[in-house]
Amino acid sequence: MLFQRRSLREQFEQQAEKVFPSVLGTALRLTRSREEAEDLAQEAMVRAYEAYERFDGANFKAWLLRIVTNLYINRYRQRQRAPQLGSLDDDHVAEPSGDEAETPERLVFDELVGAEVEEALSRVPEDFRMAVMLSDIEGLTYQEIADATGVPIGTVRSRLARGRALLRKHLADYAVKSGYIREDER
Amino acid sequence: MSDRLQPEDLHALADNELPPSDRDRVLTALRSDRVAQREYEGILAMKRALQSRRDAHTSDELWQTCRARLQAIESTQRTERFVWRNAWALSACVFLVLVSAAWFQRSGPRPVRAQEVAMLASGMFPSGSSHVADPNRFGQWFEKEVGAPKIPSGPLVPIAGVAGTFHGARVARIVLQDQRGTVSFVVVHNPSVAYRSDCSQTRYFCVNQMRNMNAVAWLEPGFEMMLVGDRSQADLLSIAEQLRDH
Repeated sequence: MLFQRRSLREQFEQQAEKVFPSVLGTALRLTRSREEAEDLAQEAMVRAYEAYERFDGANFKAWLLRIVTNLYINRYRQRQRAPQLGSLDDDHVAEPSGDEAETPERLVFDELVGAEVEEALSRVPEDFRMAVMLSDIEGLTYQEIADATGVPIGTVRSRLARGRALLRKHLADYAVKSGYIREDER
Repeated sequence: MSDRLQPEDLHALADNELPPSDRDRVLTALRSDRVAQREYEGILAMKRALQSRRDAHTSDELWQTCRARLQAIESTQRTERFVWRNAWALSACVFLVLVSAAWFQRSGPRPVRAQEVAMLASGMFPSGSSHVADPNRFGQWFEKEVGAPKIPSGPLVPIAGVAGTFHGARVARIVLQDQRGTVSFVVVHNPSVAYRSDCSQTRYFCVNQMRNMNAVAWLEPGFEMMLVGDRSQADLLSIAEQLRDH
């Protein structure tokens, strides 16, 4: 039994090491603080290890990110007590304009560097940001995002659409500011 | 964007989350809707930009810290499991050790300690013993029980005796009486008695005090003799010399 337990830890570490950058990245994007992110990532790894015997073996990364997300929601977010859901009206989310002229948006997004994407993402309200990053950065399915965040799939769909719209607006702001596109082209 | 296409449909299409029937419907509508096509391309571009951030954050140092914590947890869990599984065996071992120690402590003779002599003299010990109250049978009883030298005669008269074992050693206590009262004469069949270790030597005799009573001890071959009584040391030494000469 002792050897079985040891091999369980090694097995856990083998799997966890591969997804650790995702854990840390998710923690960083959630907390937006290096120190808190490291605490959160470490705590999540410990919780995951303690619960590893109950892991169903399906998708380790999704399972681990669910632990990170739940831990953040239960602990860190309560501590912060900051407004979570932004108002879409207030944020003037860019909707499809109906203008059929070709815009360089697609090209601009391809040109953006990581820091700018991260900066724009950090400005998206938390619940939308969580859905966007779990889907687009970590590649989780809608069902896995719903499990991780504890909301129905319909809510995940709407949060993704709204989150991306907000992100698109922030990226477009950056593109204008940096001179990639003109104000009238957005 | 046409009414047949909702923004969420485009996002679901980009995420490959549409069921086959909806997927065909959305693709058909998308072909004839240039605004939706632009929107769709924008979504895909944004997904690419975000995907490039995957695994962008890593820290080998933090990972090693996590590993160290996991190893510490594993170590603690192993110890807890071992103790939990073998609690009955550990308890049994401790119990056996205690029983064995008590058994070794009780079995076999050991030196009688100085402080115990006071208990011997106080009349409480030896316990579980035989006793005699008939002065005519005293000599016979003493020789049988203790195998010690004969009881002295003279001014000191034995009036009672009790014999038994004390920590494995044969012990007899005889109450001697003369005109001044009684003294306890204790004979221990144990040459390794420790009483003499803390007394002042006076020729053959060792003089000390026990429980505010004077005491005199000396050795005979195979025996330790002690006199304890509420008398002066000189008086006890005088009696001891009589007994030794006898």
